[in-house]
Amino acid sequence: MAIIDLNNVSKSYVSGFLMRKKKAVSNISFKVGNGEILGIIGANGAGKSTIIKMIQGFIRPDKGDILIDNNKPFDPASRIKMGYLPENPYFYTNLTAVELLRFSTSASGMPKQLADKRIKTLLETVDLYPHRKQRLKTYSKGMTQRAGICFALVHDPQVVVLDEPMSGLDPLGRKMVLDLILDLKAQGKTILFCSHILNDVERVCDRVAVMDKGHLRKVFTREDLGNQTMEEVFLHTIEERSEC
Amino acid sequence: MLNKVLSLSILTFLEGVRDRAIFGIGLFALAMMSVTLVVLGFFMRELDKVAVDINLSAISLAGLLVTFFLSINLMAKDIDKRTIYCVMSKPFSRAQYVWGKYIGILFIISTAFAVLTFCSSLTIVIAKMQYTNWFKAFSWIEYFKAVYASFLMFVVLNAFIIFFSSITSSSFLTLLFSICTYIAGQTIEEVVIYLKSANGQEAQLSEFIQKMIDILQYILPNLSVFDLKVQASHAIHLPLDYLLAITGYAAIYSGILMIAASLMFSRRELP
Amino acid sequence: MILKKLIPFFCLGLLIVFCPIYQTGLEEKRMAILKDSGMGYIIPSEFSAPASLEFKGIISDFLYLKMSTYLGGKIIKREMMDMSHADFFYDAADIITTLDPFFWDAYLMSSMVLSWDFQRLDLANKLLKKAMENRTWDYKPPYYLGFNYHYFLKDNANASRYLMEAAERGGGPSFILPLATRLSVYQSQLAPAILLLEEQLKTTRDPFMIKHLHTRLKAIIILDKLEKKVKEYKDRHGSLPEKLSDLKSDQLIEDLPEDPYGGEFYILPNGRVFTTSKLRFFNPDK
Repeated sequence: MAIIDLNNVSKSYVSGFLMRKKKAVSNISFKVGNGEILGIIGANGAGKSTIIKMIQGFIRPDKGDILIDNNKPFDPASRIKMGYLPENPYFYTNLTAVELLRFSTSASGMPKQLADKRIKTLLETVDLYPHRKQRLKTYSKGMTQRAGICFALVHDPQVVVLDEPMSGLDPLGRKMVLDLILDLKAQGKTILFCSHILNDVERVCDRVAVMDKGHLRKVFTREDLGNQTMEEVFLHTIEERSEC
Repeated sequence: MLNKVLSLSILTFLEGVRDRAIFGIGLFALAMMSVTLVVLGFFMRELDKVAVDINLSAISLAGLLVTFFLSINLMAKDIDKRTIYCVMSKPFSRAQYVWGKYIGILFIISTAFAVLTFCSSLTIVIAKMQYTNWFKAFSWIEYFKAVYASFLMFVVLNAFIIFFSSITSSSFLTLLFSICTYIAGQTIEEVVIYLKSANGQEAQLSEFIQKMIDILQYILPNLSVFDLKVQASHAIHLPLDYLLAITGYAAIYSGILMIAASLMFSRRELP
Repeated sequence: MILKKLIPFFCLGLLIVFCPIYQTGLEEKRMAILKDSGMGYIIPSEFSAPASLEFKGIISDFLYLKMSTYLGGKIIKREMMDMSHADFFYDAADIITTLDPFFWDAYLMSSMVLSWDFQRLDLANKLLKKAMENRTWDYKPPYYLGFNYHYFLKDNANASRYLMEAAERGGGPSFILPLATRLSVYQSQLAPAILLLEEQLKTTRDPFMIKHLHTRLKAIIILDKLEKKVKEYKDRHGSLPEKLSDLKSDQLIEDLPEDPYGGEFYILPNGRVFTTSKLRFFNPDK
C-alpha cells in the first residue's frame, strides 16, 4: 500500500510585480510504499524541494492530488506520523535542543515519560547529549543539522521526509546519519529523501527518482542499475532528455 | 488540541523572552522609571500626577517596543526566515499556528507588564515616601485600572500584528502596517472630535474626505479608549462598567482579527 | 622609523588638547544662537495633541517643565520680558492643558504670571475658566477667578459669584464663604490678596517659587500696613499726607519700609499706597 501518493501534480509560482508564472514542477506522479526508501535526485532547481513542500502542506498543488496515508497534506492529521527535516534547518535559536524536542513530542501527543526517554537516546545517538542545555544559536552548522534530524525523528514517525540530510556534515556526521537512515529502514519506516550527493542515495535507497527541470524523468530500482553507477544513470537520463 | 496550541505558545514565549532585545527594553523602562525620582524635584505641586505620567508612559513605551521589535519577529520573521517549517511540519493546522503564536505573544506581553508594573509600583512607593505631602490625590486603584487598560490596548495591537503577518509576505510590511494602525488608532478619535467641533466645521473638508473619515472611524480601532493615563494621574474615578466595556471592545476586536487571520493564513502558501 | 610610528600618537594628543578648546568656542556660538531664538516655537494644539498619541500626560509634564524653567530663568536673571511673552505663556499653557486638561500646576503658574506680572487678566481668566470647566471637583479655579475679579478687575459682582461657586465645591479653606458674602467690605483692602498668597505658600514646594511668593507677600503686607497708617493720618489731620515721609515725622512709622521689588512707595490721590516697581522686577509695558 502506498503511503505517499502523488498523482499528476503540477505547481507553478507566481513571482514579481508582473505576476509572471513560473512552472516549478509539472505532471509528477509517483508512489512510495510502506517501508520503502525513495530518493529523489536532481540538479539544483529541479523541483525536489517543491515536491517536498507540497507533501508537507506548505504549498498547494495547482493540479493533481497528493495523499499521505489517505490524508490530504493540508490536513494536520497527515503530519501526525510524519517527520520532516528542512533543507536548511533554521530553528528558534533561543531554545535549547531539549526544549525543541519536547515541543515536537508534545505537539504529536507523545506521553511525557516516553518522550524524555526518546529524547535522551536520540541525542546520545547523534552525539548532542552533552550540549542539550545549550541554546541552538551556539551550535555549529553540523550540530544544527544533527539537532534537526533529532527533531524530525523524536516523535517516532512512520514516514520520514528528509531534504538534503547530509548537507553541512563532516564525513563522521554523514556516516552517523546514514547509519540512522539504515536503522530506520530496519524498523520498517517509510523514507523519502532528496539529495544531490548521489553516493549516499545509492547506498540506502530502494528506488530512485530522477528529476530535471520540473519533470520526473525516470524512476528506477537498485536492480535496474545493473553494473552502472548511479552517476552514470543520472547523467545519461538527463542528457537523453535534453536531446529530445 | 488546546494542548497543541499551548505547546506552541510556550515555545513562542521561551523564544521571545530570551531575546536580547527584551533585556534592553527592560533596562530602558527601568531607567525611565528611576528618572521619576530625580525629575519630581522640578515640579511644584502635582508630583503624584508627574510620577504616574512617567511610570505609565514607561510601561506603554516598553510595551510598544516589545510589540514592534519582538512580536513582529515572532510571527512575521518566523515566516520570512522559514523557521515556521519547523512548526508546520508537526500536526498543526494553520489556525492552531496563528492562535498559538498569538497566545505566546500575549504571554510575553503579560510577563513584561507584570514585571514593569511591579517596578513602577516600587518607584511610586519610594517617591511617595520621599514626598508624602504631594501624593495626597494618588490612588492605587485608578493606577492599576490604567495599567489594565493599557494591557488591553496591546491585546488588540498584537492581534493586528498577527493579522498583518498572516496576509503580508514580509516582516517589514507588517511592521509598517502595524505602526500606521497604532498611530491612526490613537488619533482617529481626536480627529473626529475636532471635525465635529466648531473649529473643525470651519475647516470645510470636501465631502469625500468627510465620508472617508466616517468610514475609517468604524474600521480603525479606537485605541484612545484604552488610554486612561491622564485619568489615573489625577486619580479621577473610572466606573467599572467603563472597564468592562473596553474589555469587551478589545475582546471583540481581537477576536475578529484573529478569526480573519486564521482564515487568511489557512489559504496562504509558504514557499 | 620610530618617528613614523609616533605620528598617529602625536596627532591624537594634539586633537585631544585641541578638542576642549574648540568646544568652548562652539558653546559660545551655540549660546548665541539659542539667545536669538527667543522663546522658541509653539506647535498648535490641533496638531500637537494627536501627535502625542498616548503620551499626552508625560509630554504635558515636559512642556510644563520647559515653560517653568524658561520663566524661572527670566526671573532669576531679571531679564526684561515684553508683552509678546504674555501671549507665549498663554499659548504654551493652552497647549499643555489641552494635552492634560486637569493639569492644575500649569493653569496656576501661567495664570499667576499673566495676572500679576503682565496684567493680562483676559488671558489669565480664560485659562482659569478652562480649568474650572475641566476640574469640576476643584474649588481652586473659581477661587482664583474670584480673586482676579476682585483684586485686579474690581468687579465684585463677578468675584462673589465665583467665590460662591468655589465655596459650593467645597474642600477649600473656610474663609472663602465669608469672603464671598462680604466682598464689598474688603473693597479697599489687601486682606484677600494676603489670604490668597498665604494659601499658595502653604501648597508650594518649589524653593524658587516660595521665594517669589514670599517677596510678593512681604510687599503686600507692607502696602497694607502703610495704607492703614495713611488712614490713621487722615483721621488725625483730616487730610491725606503729601509724602510717605510725613507718616514718619508724625511718628506713625519708625522707618520708611523698603520695597522688596526695589521700587519706591507713593500715595495715590484716593489714599491708597502703591509702588513704582508695580510689584514686579521688570516692566513689561516697555
